[in-house]
Amino acid sequence: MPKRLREDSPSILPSTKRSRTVITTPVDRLSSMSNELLLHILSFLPISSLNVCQRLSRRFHALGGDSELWKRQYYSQWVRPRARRLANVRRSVLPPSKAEYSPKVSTWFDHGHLAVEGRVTNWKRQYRLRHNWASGSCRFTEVEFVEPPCPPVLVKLCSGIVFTADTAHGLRGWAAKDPTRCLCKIAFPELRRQNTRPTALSVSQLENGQEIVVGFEDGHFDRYALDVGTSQLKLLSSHLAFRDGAITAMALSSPYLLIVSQHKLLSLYNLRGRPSNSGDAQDATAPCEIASLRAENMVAPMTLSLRVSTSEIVATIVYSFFHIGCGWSLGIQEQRFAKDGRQLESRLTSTVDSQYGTRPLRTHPQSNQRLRSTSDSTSLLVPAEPSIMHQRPPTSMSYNHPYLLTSHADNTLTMYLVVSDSDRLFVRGGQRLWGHTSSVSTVLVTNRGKAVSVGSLGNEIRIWELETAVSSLNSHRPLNAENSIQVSPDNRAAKSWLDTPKSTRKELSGSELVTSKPQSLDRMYECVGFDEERVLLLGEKTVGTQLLECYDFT
Amino acid sequence: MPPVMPQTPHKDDLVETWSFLEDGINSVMHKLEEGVDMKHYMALYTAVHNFCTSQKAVASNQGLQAHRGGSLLRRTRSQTALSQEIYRAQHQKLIPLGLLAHLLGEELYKLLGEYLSRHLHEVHQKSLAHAEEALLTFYIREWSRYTTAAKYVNHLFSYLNRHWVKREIDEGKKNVYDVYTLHLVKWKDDFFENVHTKVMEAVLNLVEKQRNGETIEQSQIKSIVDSFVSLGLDENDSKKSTLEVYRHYFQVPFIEATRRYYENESRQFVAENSVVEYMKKAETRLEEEKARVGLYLHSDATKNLTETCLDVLVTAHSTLLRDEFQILLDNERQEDLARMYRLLSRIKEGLDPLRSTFESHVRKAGLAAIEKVSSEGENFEPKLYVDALLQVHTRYQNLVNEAFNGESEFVRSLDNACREFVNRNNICKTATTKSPELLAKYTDSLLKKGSKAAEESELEEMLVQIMTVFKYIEDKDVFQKFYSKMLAKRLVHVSSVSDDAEASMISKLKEACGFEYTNKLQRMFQDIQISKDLNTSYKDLQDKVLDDDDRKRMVDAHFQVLGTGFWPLNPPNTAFSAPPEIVKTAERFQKFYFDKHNGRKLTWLWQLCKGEVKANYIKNAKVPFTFQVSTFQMGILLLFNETDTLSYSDIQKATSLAPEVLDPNLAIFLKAKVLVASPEGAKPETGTTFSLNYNFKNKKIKVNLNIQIKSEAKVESDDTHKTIEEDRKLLLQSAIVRIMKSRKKMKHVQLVQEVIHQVKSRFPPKIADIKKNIEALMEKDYIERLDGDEISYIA
Amino acid sequence: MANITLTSSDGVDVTVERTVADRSVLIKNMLEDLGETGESIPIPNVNEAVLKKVIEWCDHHKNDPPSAGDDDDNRRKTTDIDEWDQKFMQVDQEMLFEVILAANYLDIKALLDVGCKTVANMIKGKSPEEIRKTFNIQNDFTPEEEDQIRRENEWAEDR
Repeated sequence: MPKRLREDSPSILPSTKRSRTVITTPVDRLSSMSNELLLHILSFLPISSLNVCQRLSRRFHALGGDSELWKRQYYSQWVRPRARRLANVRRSVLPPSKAEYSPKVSTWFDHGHLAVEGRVTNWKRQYRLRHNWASGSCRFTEVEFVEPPCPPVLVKLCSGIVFTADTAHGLRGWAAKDPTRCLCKIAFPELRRQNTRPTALSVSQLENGQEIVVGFEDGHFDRYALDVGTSQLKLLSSHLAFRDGAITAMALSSPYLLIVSQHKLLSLYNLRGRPSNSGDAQDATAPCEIASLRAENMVAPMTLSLRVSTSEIVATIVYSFFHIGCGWSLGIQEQRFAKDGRQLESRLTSTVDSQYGTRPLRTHPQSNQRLRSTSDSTSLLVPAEPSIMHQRPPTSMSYNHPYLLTSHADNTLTMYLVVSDSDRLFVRGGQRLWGHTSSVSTVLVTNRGKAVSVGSLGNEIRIWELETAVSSLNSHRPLNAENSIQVSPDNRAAKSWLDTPKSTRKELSGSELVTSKPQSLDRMYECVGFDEERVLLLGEKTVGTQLLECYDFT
Repeated sequence: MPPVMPQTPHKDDLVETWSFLEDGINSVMHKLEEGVDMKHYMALYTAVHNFCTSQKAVASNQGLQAHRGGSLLRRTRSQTALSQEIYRAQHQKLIPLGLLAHLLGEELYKLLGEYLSRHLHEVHQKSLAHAEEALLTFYIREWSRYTTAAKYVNHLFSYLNRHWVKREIDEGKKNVYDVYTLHLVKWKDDFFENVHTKVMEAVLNLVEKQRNGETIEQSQIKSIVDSFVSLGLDENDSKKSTLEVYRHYFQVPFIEATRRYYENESRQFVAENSVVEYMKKAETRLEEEKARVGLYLHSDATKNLTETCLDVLVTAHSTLLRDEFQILLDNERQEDLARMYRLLSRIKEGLDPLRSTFESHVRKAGLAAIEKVSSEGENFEPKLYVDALLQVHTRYQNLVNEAFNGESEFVRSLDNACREFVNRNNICKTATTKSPELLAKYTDSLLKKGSKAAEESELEEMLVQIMTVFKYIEDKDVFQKFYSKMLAKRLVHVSSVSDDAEASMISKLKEACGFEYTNKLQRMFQDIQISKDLNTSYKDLQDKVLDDDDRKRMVDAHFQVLGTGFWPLNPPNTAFSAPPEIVKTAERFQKFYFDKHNGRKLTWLWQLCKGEVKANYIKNAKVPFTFQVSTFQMGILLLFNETDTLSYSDIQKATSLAPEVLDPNLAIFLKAKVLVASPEGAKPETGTTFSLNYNFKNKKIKVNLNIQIKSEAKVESDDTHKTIEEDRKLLLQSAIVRIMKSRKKMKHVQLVQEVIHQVKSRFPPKIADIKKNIEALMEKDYIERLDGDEISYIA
Repeated sequence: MANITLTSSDGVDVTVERTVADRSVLIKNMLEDLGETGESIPIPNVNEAVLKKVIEWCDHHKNDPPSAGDDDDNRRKTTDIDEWDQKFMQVDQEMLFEVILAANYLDIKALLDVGCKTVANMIKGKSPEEIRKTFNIQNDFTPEEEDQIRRENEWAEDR
């Protein structure tokens, strides 16, 4: 039992008839206690002391890292405050059962993914992860693509795997943990390789892997599946969606796929729609188009979103347009389909009202409105000046229901909340997010309200927890840096070596990225994605070199 | 001398520790009644504590195996498996450093579990010797012994609970329980699973015995139920319990057995007994089962058990019960009907067929009663008819209240049936208007002076009953018509039994049909009151103006001024030259009235006037006779003041009366022998002469000659019917116009529907009539037909 | 309320009130299971000095309300100890640890917490070397190992 606790000192239990004598040699009474008692003592210590204890001895190293201890710390640091906060937002009293620590992770708010039976969670690691996110500390690595692909590579992150698609190499998967390691690759079909380039990439998590759809210039899309067990990519089927134009945007929520062509044709597919009648298809089913619409009023750039509920499929297109009053605004078009593709409804709304700040009052429930109308009646009048005004189009937008974020060249982000229920679709409140000190080039948000935004220089990454900001939506108090954390990689100054046969060895020096602005300025950044553990950026130099930057928070 | 404190085993030695603990647990399990002494208790607790707090409790697997194998040979295999398991468990614990700290206790927990399994295996072996009630006794005894022991062991192992077990549960491990719960889990897995079928068989046999009327020891079943309930553990939270085990192992077979039992019993019982007897039986059984839950079942069973019993006892036999319903109705078995109602009301849709049977039964009863009335000939008293209706209604109303709990659906069926037989029966075969007419006549007979219902309360009671029938009358306008006619007569002739009764009736009608319905009736009432005042002030004036002489020559008169619009009265259908005595009086009053109300017009309704004449001419009368006569008759008689004999044509000339009025009145005089015809026996016609009979005789001093003439009554009734038709036409037309005025445009079909809706409270309109009236209004240019079957209002 | 006699491991009888003895869940459970027989209760794991110390604490706290929820986080978070208990715990390390062990053995949760908090306070805010010195803990790491662990745990240092 190598890791078993040792007992070097004589037992202090007075069960033996040992007479009490003055002990001259120093006795380690603490280490002679049983594990449960030491754990009990350690449970009274803050995390800093826990880490100090781990340095005492092998035994304390084991005890101080005990997952159950850290679980409790994790709970009081991250779970309970959030539950409290949310209860405050809803003006409800936290039920006592929620206020008290429960060792059952399944009862914790939003931690279902960690409550898998039979799996031991390393709670210290989880704690540290949250800690790092909250403080913005991470490790930075960078990978440059060899033979700079032209046109630029398409990149997506899903469940710890980075997928890239380019004409030269086809579809490849990389470990997000170590983006130098190519997990799997598959070339595009012969026909495609010669003539067309991929124009859209979308990934969706399946039970035992991922489903990847690549859209091409020639209006085809290919379905691939990644088997996690064997790390094998497999072409499932190939399908012609549009005869006359490229697939410009795509949203995938298996088994549903939403695609838009350059000619503004919108199609909704069920990828497992009907049994295939062609014998050569490897998958049992072929994609089946269930709805097709011409969307005249869509304006590029746009972002697509696809939500699938038990009863319906909601496809949303967000686009920007210029409004004479409040400058660049967002239009939101929502198409609701039944599972059989029947279009239930098409609704349109925009952020204009929110930008004027008139919407929030109207959207309050009837009773509320009556209560408030006396005090707030003046604000019912439409103000002459919009409170949110954008003279330039957004640099990027990200919609993950209900959060809608845009990034702007004026160092800010704007957040809207989209309300979509059976009766109506509207935008609730608009809010400027302050914090960046330079032009913001890209933003990405999750449906839980965590957002990552990147300054155009690439060296300013901020992480936003927007859940708390929701409560202040109706006040005109702008959100500022307090709500976000700047990512500050610990190893920026240190040298980092990356070595892999699949990519070039690249020497990075922190000063190069941080200080040499002329070089940074010519880079364009795109946020590829982020998950529980890391943020991935795609950087592009003017000369065509593409870099994948990984910020690891573990 | 207290027992010596036993030497606790060496804390690092699993084998020694466990064998020490096993001895202790053994005595708790088997010899608890002998008591556990404090020192052993403490020693056992301490042994667990010391083992768990030792830091080197790594057992020598070899030693354990040897020790075990030696003690009980036949267990060698399981013991080997056990020790391997312990070994494996220990090695699985080698989780990467820094993830989970290791606590001691798993070995003890496993060994305890193994021990319990062995113990329960023995218990099971012993249980094989028992069956039925003895098995129950055994189970209950073992259960109680085991759970008591479990409580002790739980305390003895509380150090394990506090640390190792708690930790395992915190880490999210399944299948680790605190020591007490472990006992329950083991009991369930290692004993209960093996015996529950037999135990339940015994329980069910006991229950069956009780159902068969034997006395059983209910507490046994209660204990079994409690035990089953205790075994239900919540997978997610061992502190909570669920009823799963009880439901699955007790309730399901119990319900199944109940179903079987009652299926058999009811089948057999029905075959041998009457339906009525069966219903009694079923009711008793249902009560018994309800009580059973309270006696020894878990309250959770109530719903399920009740549903099962109802299903088997009632639903399964519902056709049989329903078939009996008609028979019970025929025999008026109220108590049995009530029983059937109670039973069938508890199952889904159980009563629906009864309601329709009941409805047709009541209708038939009503029709039969009317049949009986009509069989007595054309001229029956309206009272007979109404009484027949009321009697049927009352009888079944009582039945609904007594047997059917006054349930609203049955009330509705009763109403439907009554409406049917009130409006459509043998007597009103030709027209539904016969019923309201008869009802109105009956009402009149009650409210007219001289009715038999003397007592006021009795009268009120009867009026209430009339309203009961009235409620079912469809042609309420017909009733209104007849009623107002008769009310008019009662008022004019001052023949009402009491003003209070009249007012009461009117207010009842008003309550039933609204203000509009009784408006005219109330105005009639007012006119009479106003007339009284008018007469008083007229009299006062007379007293002032007239001298004694005038007064002597005056006819003592009472006048009634009736508003034309409100009274259902027509001007006289004959000319009449009133005798000068009356003319003078009438003119004087007329003058007085016009002075008071300038511009009004008065029409004398001679046909309704009456008076008294004194016959001073009769020879043998000590006191002169007084004749009560109509004005027409007065006109005839006063002619004889001048001469004793008059010819028919003389009379006609003098009175200007039309023959159809004159002839019957003369006939009355002849019949009463006031006048004598010549030639003798001649009819009143041209050529006949009439002379005063000086030898008139009568027993009474006051002789009423003002008798309603038969033909007159008949004509009047026909007239009334005719006016009803006319009134309905107006009602329909006004409804159409009213609707069209508000809607402007409407589909023909919709209009018809709307009209029906509006007038149905008065009478059920015929669609053909509505259409006819729509046509009529088109002709009058009130409305016009547009394209597409639409009708438009012409403003 | 009857008095209970406890016999320490070294054979000394100590008589206490039942309410005082009931602070120990072990004794409480046993008395409930076996009933009061009048005989003295052997406490085989606790010697006279420690037993008396423990009883002193129990006597002082005999009227405390039963401890709140097992996992009351406030209790755990703060290492505040009330004044009397602080004074009570001002004993040499040997006694301190013996009291903790006895509280654990006798199942006196509140006393166990007080003891553990006292030890936790002795650890808090100290460097590893200071802690080792306080408790005579032997460092069994190689310098490389120790350095590695220090680096691993830098993120959580108090700033």
